[in-house]
Amino acid sequence: MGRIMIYKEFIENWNKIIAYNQRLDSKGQTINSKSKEYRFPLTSLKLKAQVVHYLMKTLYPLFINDQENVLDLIISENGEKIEEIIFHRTKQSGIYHSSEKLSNDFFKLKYNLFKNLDSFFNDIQEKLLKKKKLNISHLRIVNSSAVPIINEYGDKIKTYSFKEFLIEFAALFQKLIKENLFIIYPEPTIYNFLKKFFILLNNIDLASILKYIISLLPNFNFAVLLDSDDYPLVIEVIRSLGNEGNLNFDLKLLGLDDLSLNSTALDRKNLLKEINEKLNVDYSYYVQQNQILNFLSDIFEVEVLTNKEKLKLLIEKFLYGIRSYEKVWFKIPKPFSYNTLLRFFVRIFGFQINLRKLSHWEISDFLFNTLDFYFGAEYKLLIIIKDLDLSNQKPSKKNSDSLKSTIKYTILFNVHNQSTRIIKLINNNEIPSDLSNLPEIRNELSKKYGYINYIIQIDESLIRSIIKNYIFELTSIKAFAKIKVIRRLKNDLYFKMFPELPPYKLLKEKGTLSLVRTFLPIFIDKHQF
Amino acid sequence: MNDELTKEPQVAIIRKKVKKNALIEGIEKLGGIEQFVKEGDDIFINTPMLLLLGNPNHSHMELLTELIKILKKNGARKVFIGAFPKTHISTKLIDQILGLSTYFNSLEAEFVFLDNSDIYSKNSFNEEKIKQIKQATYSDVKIKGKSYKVPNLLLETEKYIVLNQINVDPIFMCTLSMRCNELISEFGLKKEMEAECNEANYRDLNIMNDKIISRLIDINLIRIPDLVINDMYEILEHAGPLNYYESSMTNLDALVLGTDSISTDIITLRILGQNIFENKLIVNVRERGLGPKDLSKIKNIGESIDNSIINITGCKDLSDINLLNTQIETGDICLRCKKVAYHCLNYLASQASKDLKYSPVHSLLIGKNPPDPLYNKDLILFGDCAIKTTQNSDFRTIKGKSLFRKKEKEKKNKNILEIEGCPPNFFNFLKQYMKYFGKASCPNLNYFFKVLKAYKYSKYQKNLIKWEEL
Repeated sequence: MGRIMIYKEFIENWNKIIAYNQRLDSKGQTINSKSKEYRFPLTSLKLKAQVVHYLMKTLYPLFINDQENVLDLIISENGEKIEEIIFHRTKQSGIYHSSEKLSNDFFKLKYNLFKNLDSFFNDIQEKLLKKKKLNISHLRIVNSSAVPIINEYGDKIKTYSFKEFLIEFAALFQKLIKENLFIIYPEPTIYNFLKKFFILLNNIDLASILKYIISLLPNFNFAVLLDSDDYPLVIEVIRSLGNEGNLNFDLKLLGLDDLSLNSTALDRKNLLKEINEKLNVDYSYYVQQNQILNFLSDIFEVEVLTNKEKLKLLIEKFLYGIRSYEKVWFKIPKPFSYNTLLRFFVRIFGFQINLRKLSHWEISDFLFNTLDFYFGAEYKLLIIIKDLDLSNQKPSKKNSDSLKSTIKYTILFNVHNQSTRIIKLINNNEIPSDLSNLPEIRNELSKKYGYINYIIQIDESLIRSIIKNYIFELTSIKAFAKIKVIRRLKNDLYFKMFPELPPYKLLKEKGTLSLVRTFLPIFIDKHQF
Repeated sequence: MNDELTKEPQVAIIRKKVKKNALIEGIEKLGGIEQFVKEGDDIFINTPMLLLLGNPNHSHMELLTELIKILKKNGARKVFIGAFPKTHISTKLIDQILGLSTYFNSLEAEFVFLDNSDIYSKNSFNEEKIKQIKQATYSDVKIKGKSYKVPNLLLETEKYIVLNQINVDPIFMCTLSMRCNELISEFGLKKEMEAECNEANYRDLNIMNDKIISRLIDINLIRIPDLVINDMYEILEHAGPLNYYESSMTNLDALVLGTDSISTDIITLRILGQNIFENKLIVNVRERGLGPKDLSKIKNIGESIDNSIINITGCKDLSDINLLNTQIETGDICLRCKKVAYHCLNYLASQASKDLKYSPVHSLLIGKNPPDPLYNKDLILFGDCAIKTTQNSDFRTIKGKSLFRKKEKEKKNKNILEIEGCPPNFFNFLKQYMKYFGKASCPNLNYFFKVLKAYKYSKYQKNLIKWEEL
């Protein structure tokens, strides 16, 4: 049997990173490697050596393991034989100082590794301690059948755009983790989170979800300054639709020196202004790196998927972040909605709009309590996403029959004890022909999938406008665009729910301004000071 | 009737992951489906109407669906599904929201409107016509000299099945199957109950509570169910029987099926680790000599009780319910007021967190002769008992200085909100609460009442009250 090899470019790139780390170690922080660019392992991102070094130093301990030394194993398909052992020595977690291939008979397996991971970890620790007087913090195990898949991926990413990379990366890891082809032991929280997440997704590809989400995003062009005392980073994100309908989604990661900027010479507002000008983007955000990293590590806590209280807390934190304008983050140019005079003017007409007073504690409570109270703790929810643009005729309530062709996705959420347990993609052909008759759809699909408690039908254009107006342009004051979204929510063609539960009924029956007046006091705190 | 109640009862505890399998096995253990349906039978399934609020506020729809399918497959001519009208919520409104009629029609079953709301919701309320329809829907049945209005469906159908969801309950520990008839026991007895209440304010509340329970038992004697199913797949504990903020769901994955309510409920309580001799309903049943005399005579033909025991946490006492800025004091309280107060407080805790945060610190007094409140400045008196028995309490007057006098003077405490009724009306309590603290301080309740308005709730309610009074 031939030797199993990880693709050449990966090994070369890895050796360069190690060489850089070794030089950095011998010369200290002053190393000048401006011209050198390395690929961040397993990604399409070619970054400055310092950026790669900094990212690995920051992300690895936070998301994978914060202790030193790692052992990589390539094992046979059935897990009974070790094909390759590589020992990585790290000076600190994420900073690799050397990689040494050990002889295959360094450790002889006497049992199936998959079934005895715990004993294997202890046995190999013992052996390493005895022979090399070293400990490892964790194992990374790759099944030999995954190597060709990884190699194929590695071959392709050289030419991939960021969008393609993101989609392929998601597909690769869904396959590796779902089929147990790649294991990290002890399991880091992110690995555990992904494992649970892929179980939840059931028959849905994460890659397709990402692709769909990117297609739903509005066009934008912005930069984010991720500030830190160690190494401020700038992210430039562009999403644009070309004349021929080709979608461009790109992300660049830069150091301040790439923009010829000095972090200490300017205050943060002026620094952000400079970034905005130099990158020629529409707007720029300032946020502290550690806040983003903390939030990300909160997301990857596995219970977020299954524990309602944790999810609630996470949303609360996110909303608290949004309300902390000029405390935690700021934006250039400054959003008009933060103008005190404007706020005062709007207040005269009975609308209290003050995002600094966003009721972070109440919004998540309100949403979850409403959901719990009206949906219950145990239910099946069917979401039909349609695209009216796919219809040959001009859509109207009268030609609902033709609307069946507009269905894009039908997704069934199985909720148990207030948390989603399984998400399932349903074949669109299973939907009865009259798309406007939701009770009929419920009755028909309940025969196969068990009683479906709730059905929501939503048009893609509405999802797009919600994302655009209430996420990307939350801080802008485009009142008419925002009101238009609410009007569309009231229109059966774009949004429909069955049974018409109380909150939906209110949405349908009440005038748009009256709705805004009802919900604003819930979403915004009363006391201004 | 009593003969049926004293025959050797059979109960089957079935624990299976799949509800359908548990139902089939349970029926089989109780003697097979032929015991419960014969060719051409009309069957009435009574299942509590909390369908608006999702599982497990009520029994799982999948279980009900399977039950209907089994009955139809085995020759049932008609299967009627319904429950006795819930106070203030018409069945037509529930049907309109959930589309139950169309769903049950697709299963060749029929959703019944025992409050005749399907008639008067479509057309204007023609008193004469509705009166005739109501008379055709109900019959007067006398028990112990008292006349009860009982739906003809309950009396005339060949088989009667109770499908009941088990959750914790503030009154009877858990939502027992006998409670499914609770509403019919009070239906048409409004004046009698008001008189009882007035009397009870000056006497022992226990007498009134006994009367409430006694009526419930009487109603259960009118028609003994042929099959009782207690659904224990998902159970709400802590703050059940509704999915309130403090409720939590626990899984037992079990059905308890029986051939009479009393035995099925006794076994259910034992599974839940409850002392049945502390359960007021069961104690009253036994005092009246109903049900099995020797509890060990209840024939359990399924899983053993010991293997099925699950200890659940019951409902909190009213004074232990956590309400922000609210100090709750309770005196002696009748079962009806306790139930409404429990739901009012839990609703506030679940759905009005912002309103509670905005409200000033206040005391809420419930029941007869409640202890002195901690806070006199803002005070809520819940129910006639609390209002009447605190007329001479110290908190009715407060000391205060006027603008011109330096000396403190006693004056009437005007910051008291009195919620009348025995029991007070749930919606009225919330409305008065909002009015007292101001709309601006109660955005959650304001939203709630707008939701009710969107449903034209008051129209339904008005018609339902008219119908009840006919």
